[in-house]
Amino acid sequence: MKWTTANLKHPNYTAQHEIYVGTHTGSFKHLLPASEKTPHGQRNISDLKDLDKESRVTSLAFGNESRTEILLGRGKNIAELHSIGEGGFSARHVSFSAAPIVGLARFNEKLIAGIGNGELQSLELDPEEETAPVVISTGTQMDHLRQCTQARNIVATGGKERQNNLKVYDLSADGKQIFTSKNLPNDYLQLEVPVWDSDIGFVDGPSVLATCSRHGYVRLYDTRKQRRPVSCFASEEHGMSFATLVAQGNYIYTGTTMGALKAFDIRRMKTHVHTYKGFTGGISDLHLDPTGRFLSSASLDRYVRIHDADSTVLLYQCYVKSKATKILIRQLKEEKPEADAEEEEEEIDNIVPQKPSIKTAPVDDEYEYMFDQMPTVGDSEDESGEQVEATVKVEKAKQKRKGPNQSQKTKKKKV
Amino acid sequence: MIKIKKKLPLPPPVDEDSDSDSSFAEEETEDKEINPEDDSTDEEPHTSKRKQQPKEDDDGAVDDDAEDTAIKDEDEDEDDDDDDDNEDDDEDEKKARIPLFNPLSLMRNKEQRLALYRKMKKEKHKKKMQERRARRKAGVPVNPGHTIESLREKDQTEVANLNDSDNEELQKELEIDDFSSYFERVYEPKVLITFADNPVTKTRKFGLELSRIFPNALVKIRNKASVKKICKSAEREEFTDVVIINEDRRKPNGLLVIHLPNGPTAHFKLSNVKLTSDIKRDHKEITKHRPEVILTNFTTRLGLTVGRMLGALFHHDPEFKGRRAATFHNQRDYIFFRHHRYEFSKEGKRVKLRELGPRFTLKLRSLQEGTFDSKTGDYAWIISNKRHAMESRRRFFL
Repeated sequence: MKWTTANLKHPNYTAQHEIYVGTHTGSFKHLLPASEKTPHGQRNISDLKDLDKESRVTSLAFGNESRTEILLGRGKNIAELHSIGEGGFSARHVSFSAAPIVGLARFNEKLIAGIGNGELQSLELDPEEETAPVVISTGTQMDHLRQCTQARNIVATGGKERQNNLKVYDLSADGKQIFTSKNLPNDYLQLEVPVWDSDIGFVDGPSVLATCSRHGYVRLYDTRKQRRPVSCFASEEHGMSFATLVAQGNYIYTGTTMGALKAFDIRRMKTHVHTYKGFTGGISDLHLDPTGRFLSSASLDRYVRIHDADSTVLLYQCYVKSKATKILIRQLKEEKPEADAEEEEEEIDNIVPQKPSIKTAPVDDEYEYMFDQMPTVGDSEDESGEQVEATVKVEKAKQKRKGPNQSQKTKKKKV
Repeated sequence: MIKIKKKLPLPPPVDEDSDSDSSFAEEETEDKEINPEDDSTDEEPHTSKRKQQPKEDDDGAVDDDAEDTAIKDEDEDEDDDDDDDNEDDDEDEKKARIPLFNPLSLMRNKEQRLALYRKMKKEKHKKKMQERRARRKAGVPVNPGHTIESLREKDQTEVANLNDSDNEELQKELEIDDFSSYFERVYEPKVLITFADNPVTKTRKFGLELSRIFPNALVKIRNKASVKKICKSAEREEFTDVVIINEDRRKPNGLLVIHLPNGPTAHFKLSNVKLTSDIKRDHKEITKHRPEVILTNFTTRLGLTVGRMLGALFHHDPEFKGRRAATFHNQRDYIFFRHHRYEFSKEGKRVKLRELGPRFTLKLRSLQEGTFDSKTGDYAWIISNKRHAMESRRRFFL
């Protein structure tokens, strides 16, 4: 489509979506592209009056599986919980002891915040008495914290400098660090490769992660295999500076500070596979809808856009008046019954830990069959993080037994 | 009107009445001269041409050659005569597709022909002016005509009226953005002007002249410091803005404006730099009084930011005694800078302008959040790489 500044809606864009946008000014907006009459109408959820210089929105995430709760963090030490009910919104405020809040996660009754100074703070949501947040130090600086959508006890953090590289924490084990990445080997001059993990994404499950960097690399980690990235894209010659990333299936979508949005295929990271057009400013946030077909992006040029992830067509564009910093896209309720199988599968989280083993089946049927016959340790299958962890561990053990060669093969198949 | 265009394949029914005053009607103090294009014949060629020959047809080719344009001009003038009121001779004009002949062109003697031609032209002009005067007297509204600007693609982000009810969010943003403290008069701007490494004399002189324009400015040689370092030390020395003049091929060609302490950073292309001496003025004419700042035509949201940024380089309170005016006029994304001293006539109806130097043209390349960080900084707007996708002759960003 030709480049334009106008608000757009592609005629083929009929999916029932709603968008939540956080802006640099601090306003929190609700857009309804699905609406027939006013696809570009927008509504401010929070009050504009009490915004100040520090109240820019720095993190936005869904608080639960059904995507009915939104966690919003600001440049100051206040986090907001918005629940989307039938009758509208209800909000409550939680304050942490430091700012800015660069990532929020909710696990059971705890709210976990990643703070810009590198701390991981967790607060009970309904404490009997007022308590100070529990602080875990991850480093000296943090750019982003993301929660895995499938295993909600897993969060990953990343920041600038080597000591703030990608780290993964398990919330069910009191915030135990379960993975820390390792930088690439030194370059040919024996100099350290600069590290800046500006954003993190979980690629199908808690163990495969992708990071992007303002220094211009996209890396893919497999926590089961090694600490160094398993594949890597580096763009020194292109001078791209990646600010945000989202991943699903075989694809990693990442946006640069200069307004380029690229898709990478994790099976072949040498070059990008898609470019999405229409941006005039840097991309500040990306979010995919559950099917992975619609890629929504927030940009500093004050526009919110939705692209078709496969065909790269610009489906929707809307001017939101302030610089958009964070975005969430959500399926409207009416669509739920007819949602396809893939989506449903993701909504049930207990399947997730098993998913890898299901997918690895074609490697060696007989061998897998044998294992399937064996009784599993955590067979009861009714929630609780510990059991999930246990299954993960069992799975790890499985992989070890298979030996390095085979596990590599399985990984490739899966990703 | 279409009828007259029969010779010319180019389409749009053009109104030739370019009443150049009309486009600047909003500023009553400004005379025609303040329009940067009138006194700059060396701007982008098409820009200045528009004013002199306000026709869209056949625009580059042979304007100077009087003979060639004679015929064309003639039928254009006719066009002009009847364009406002009568459409009645439409039909016969449609039938007659014979090119109009100027009998003068059959004349062999060149000198006489030219003389006659000039005379004819003069009379036409006279007639046209008379008609225009009559029209103005009658109070016929001025037809703005089809200029590229009037055909401008509508911009979604356009800020028509700041006080609109749906601009509540914009007002809020202006209250809390990086320039809010300037507009609340919390601080007095203090500008550091510096150069690329080893600037040539012209660039240095330009820097000096800029320092005469911005009150409270200091010119320093860069001494090969990095921009990030400059920003840091300027912040320590309580400067509020840094202006860096880049040069290439011994000419100033870029202007980097950095607002401290939290940005933004704007990068402009700088062209057509004329120093005070180039326009035969003396810098002694420029007094030390703080100038008034005129920012015109910044209409979009991006334009608003850029306008605020340029305005924030100057002191809030102009000293009207000095009668100095610094103008940033945006026209088709080119920001023309002019510097004048003005004088009102006795009745206070007309104003005389005297241009003081320098003059230059800016074009925005990028606007970046935060202080200068070209590699990893977030750009709020950038045009490089996708210029061809974004640009169109009728689309403007400021």
